[in-house]
Amino acid sequence: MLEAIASGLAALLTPQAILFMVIGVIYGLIIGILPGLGGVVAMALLLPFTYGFEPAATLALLLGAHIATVWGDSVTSILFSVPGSAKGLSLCFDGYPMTKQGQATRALAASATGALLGGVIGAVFLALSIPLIRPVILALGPSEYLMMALWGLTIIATFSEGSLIKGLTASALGVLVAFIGMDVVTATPRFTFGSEFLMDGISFPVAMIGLFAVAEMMKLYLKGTSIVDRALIKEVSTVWQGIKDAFRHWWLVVRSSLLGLWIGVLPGVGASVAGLAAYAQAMQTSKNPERFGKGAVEGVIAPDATMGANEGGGLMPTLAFGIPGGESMALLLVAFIGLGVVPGPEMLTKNLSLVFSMVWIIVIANVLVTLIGLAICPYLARLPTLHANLMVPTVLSVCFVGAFATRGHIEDVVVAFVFGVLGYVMDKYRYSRANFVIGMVLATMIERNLHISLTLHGEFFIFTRPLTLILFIFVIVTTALPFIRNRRRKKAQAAQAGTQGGVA
Amino acid sequence: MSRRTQENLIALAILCVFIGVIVMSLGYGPRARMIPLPLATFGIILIVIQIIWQNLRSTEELQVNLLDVLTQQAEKEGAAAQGGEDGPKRTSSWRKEAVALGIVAALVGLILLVGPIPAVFVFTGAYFLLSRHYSWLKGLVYTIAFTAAIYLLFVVALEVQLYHGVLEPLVERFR
Repeated sequence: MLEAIASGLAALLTPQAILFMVIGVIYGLIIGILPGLGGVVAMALLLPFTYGFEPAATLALLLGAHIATVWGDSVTSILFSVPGSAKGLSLCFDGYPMTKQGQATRALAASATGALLGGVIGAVFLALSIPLIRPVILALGPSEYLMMALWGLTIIATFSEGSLIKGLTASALGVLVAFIGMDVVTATPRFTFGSEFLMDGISFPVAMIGLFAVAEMMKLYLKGTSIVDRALIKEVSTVWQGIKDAFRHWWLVVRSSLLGLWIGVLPGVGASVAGLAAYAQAMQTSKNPERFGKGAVEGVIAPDATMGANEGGGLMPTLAFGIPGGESMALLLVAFIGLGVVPGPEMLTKNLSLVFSMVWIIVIANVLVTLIGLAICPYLARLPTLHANLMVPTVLSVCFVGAFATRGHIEDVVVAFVFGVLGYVMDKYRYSRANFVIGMVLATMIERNLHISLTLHGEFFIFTRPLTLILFIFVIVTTALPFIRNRRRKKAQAAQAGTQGGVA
Repeated sequence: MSRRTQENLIALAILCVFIGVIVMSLGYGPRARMIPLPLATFGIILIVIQIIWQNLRSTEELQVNLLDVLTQQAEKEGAAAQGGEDGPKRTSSWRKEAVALGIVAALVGLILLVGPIPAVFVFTGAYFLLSRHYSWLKGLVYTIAFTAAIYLLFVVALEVQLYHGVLEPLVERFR
């Protein structure tokens, strides 16, 4: 194994591999910052250029670009509350408030360092767990995946912004929107109104562009000034503060990274769920959860660490079974075929040095992204000071062209507009947009796994499969926990107020 | 329009969506409607509770104007804005919201008419000109530079096949 680790690194130390990785990282950062375009687009566009080169160099280009898009997504979420893709959504909740408080540099640096630490921890655990992970993945079936998707829904309470009823309504709407299109199980066209375009369903990145980017630009137009007025709020933070924050919350970073790695290992769950779950666990385990949503740096570090680690985790089922963990990993499989590499159990025996090359690529690409990120943080932090009259037309233009570029359908521009209005209305009347997105993300996973579980294990599958039952109990406990804690806290506060009143 | 009326209208719109989903779901097979049907029913229960709840609460609790929140004037003007009266500020808020919507709709309309790149040029140029934030010359330079950047990024680098707009056949006829 040590030999494979060394030869994996040696394969990356060629001029070609180094050059490819640098190109991939810079290209990935640019693509990540553009709304609607994420790791999938970055890798898809690079695929035609990968044939005929060394496998390690090719993978350095593809994975380097993919990893860089993760932090690219975070940048726009933190600076403008405009997530480049679903992954970046969780960064909006505390990153954007930090920007508005003049702490954009700190938030960006914490985000970059969190992503680096997450990536490294994820890669290390990936390397260590290669021999162990196979039986774990094989033990999980659709009913367990269903429980994990249901667990994802429990974070709705976290994002309900004061009204749980409105939060639940928003997520119900999100789930129903995800059902637009051809039903994956029965092939029934649902809620399509006879439209051929809607048969494909609503594109997730396009909906995100509308819900957040377009709605935020409408709000910025109404505000009429810049996001951050430097005359009123000075940029008070530094890059060093952000780096220190990430290291100070090392335990949160470790927890979030392991969560990201675990979610990445599960095929089909995805980084968007990972980011939201990381944010929720950071909030639920914090001693001061009331700070979240108002600019808590932990709310930036946790999702980035998770998403950094998620990339390593996503590689596992792709390499070990040939089952892609997500769309980007499916593209990686295509690259493997082009390179003449056959993914599967043999990858972990015959091609182990290539596997370790990928582990090294994750580490080195993360270091590169972070170095570039930390260097440009102070300059990026100036962007929110640009006036609304410059921001609104340019960001709206990029958003709508980005919406069109996602699938090349002009109807997506209209969809982005509709979701923009919806996002604005939801924000104005406090129907959580985050919950809407969570509903959209988890809907298909819940429906597909429910149908398969019913077919395979019958109506009482929760009780006939022990692991499913354990996960079901876990879901109930984690759902109830925030409410119990909240009640206890209120009781303690009431008792404290009573004591103080008595003293006075 | 008072905040309560606005909230009720939004809730009623959501109620209509859930009812629509139920009506449409009844036309699908049992497996296809297995989740949408109970979910929409649950949604109806939620939104009915929301409607009842928001009509039993005091007006002050519902009084949140987005413009006030954005400009952080809620605390100063909260008391004056309460009670549901249609003062001049709220009228201007509605007007500004309509303009914001119009701006976004204008860009979408332009994209549909002439395609993304010409639409970006016209929209950005017009916005800079009408907002008078920059001199016309500076605005023009920015517009050209921005449109060129979008073109290079999406068309040249990313090789996106552009849509040419519904007016393209007309343009073709005059060629």
